[in-house]
Amino acid sequence: MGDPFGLPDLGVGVGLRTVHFGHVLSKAPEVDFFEALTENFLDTGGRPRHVLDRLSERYPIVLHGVSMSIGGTDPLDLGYLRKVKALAARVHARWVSDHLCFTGVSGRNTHDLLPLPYNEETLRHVVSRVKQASDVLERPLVLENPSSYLEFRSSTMSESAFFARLLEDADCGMLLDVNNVYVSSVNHGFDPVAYLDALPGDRVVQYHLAGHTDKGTHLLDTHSARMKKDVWSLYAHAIARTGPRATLYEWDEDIPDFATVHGEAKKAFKYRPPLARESRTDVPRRAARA
Amino acid sequence: MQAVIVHPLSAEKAARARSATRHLGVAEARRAILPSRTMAPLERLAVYQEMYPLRMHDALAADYPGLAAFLGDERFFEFVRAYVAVHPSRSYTFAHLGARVPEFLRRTRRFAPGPFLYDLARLERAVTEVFEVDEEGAGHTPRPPRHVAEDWESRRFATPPTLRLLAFRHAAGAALDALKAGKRPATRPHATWAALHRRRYAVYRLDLTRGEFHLLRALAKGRALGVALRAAARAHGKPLSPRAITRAFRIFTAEGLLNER
Repeated sequence: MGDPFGLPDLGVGVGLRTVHFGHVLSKAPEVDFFEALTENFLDTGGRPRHVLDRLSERYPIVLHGVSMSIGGTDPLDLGYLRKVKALAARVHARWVSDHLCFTGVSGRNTHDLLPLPYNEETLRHVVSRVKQASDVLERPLVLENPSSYLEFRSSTMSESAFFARLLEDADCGMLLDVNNVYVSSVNHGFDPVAYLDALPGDRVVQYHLAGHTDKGTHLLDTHSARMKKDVWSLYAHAIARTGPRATLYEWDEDIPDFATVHGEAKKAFKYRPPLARESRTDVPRRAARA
Repeated sequence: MQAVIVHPLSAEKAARARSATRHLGVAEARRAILPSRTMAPLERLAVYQEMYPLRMHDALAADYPGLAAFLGDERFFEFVRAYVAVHPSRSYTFAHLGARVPEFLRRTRRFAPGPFLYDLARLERAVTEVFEVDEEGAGHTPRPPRHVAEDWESRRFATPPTLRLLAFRHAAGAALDALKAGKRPATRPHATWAALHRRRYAVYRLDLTRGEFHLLRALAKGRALGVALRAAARAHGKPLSPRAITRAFRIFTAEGLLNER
């Protein structure tokens, strides 16, 4: 099942983290792609940008942001979107993603992915903003389902139903985080398999895999440690529906060495085929910087 | 919801606090948010509220490790809460969150010794800024200065775009070194000077004498060497000795701080 945007299956990748910069530059590991946290590479002319520039010459890169606030009521930050667009062009990003959430109001940024009520009014609002953002970026936007810890009484539909409508009405792609589906399903008491089955599989462009922490009363999406067996099962179910899609492992707390993180990511090959050798050279040739 | 999440009190107290209840009071929170099988509405909101200061703490500790070490865990957390209450993030990136820390420490009296902390924070902020400087479009590749004796007074030099010159009332550089080594720094007043610059994406600090600082500052402003030496002499209280000048130039050129214009 291909996606409507013709975006490639990038294989299995790893999140680009500062602690691994030296290793990745010096050892050039056999990784299918890297995901860079967008905001860490805007407004910087120092080492982070240098590293990303070097990596983009060798590896496919995707950009993943946390500050677009696509569900927010403040106007979209067009200056920010233009910077994202410029960065995406600079590193030949295959796509740009962010989250279905809001991050703050009245100009403030909590730097958290705050939940939205899922109803018709929110849907219309978010669809409009997704189209606006896509116009500025000049590419379809890819949105991730966040983990959430509360639900609103004003919601009139499930998150998966909301997402299914959003993907079609806004003509955007989905970054399906199966750990977030699991965490939210426990926190809110819904069936995670039913959630996955409600989504239009052809709109899934990428997967996220990660670990979480059990706090007793709720699960917290900590991106720590190894992914739990139940979440691997969800991934297996999801990818059987969608077919092979770019899959990325996130590990953000107590980050171990690169080999450990990459080893965890490569477990995804139990559930999807590796990329064909010829598909790996998808990186366009560019002259090295003088 | 945001007003409760960013409030320094617990979610329940925040929802009752005047600053938050304009937007979301306790009753409204209970009406707006569903309970789960295991958590009441305000407890669910508290999950976000508890994460907020932790994220702010991590971001500020990354930019101000010396300050964090000096204050210690509990006091640094107090500082973080106080700072973000006054200067919440208004940017898409954490990179700008700590920009006003030095000024905040200078104005508040809650964290002592204030003047020392101000200098320490200035140094740490400058390190961050030098690390992030965009050198693209800076122009030609720097070349070491030629040795030309006859026109020395009118010689001008180029300095790297990452150069920052700082004057302190305390031994801020030594303090930062001590804190990184896990030692307690001296906090008494003691005038010091430093140059920060970046080479191959790493930030370096060069501790300077008063004369070296004023000499380099004048040269960085594009002053001719003769003018710069006179400026350094005025600040130093007497002309720099030939030995001091030679030493300064040896250090400046070795560090790549003075280049052919």
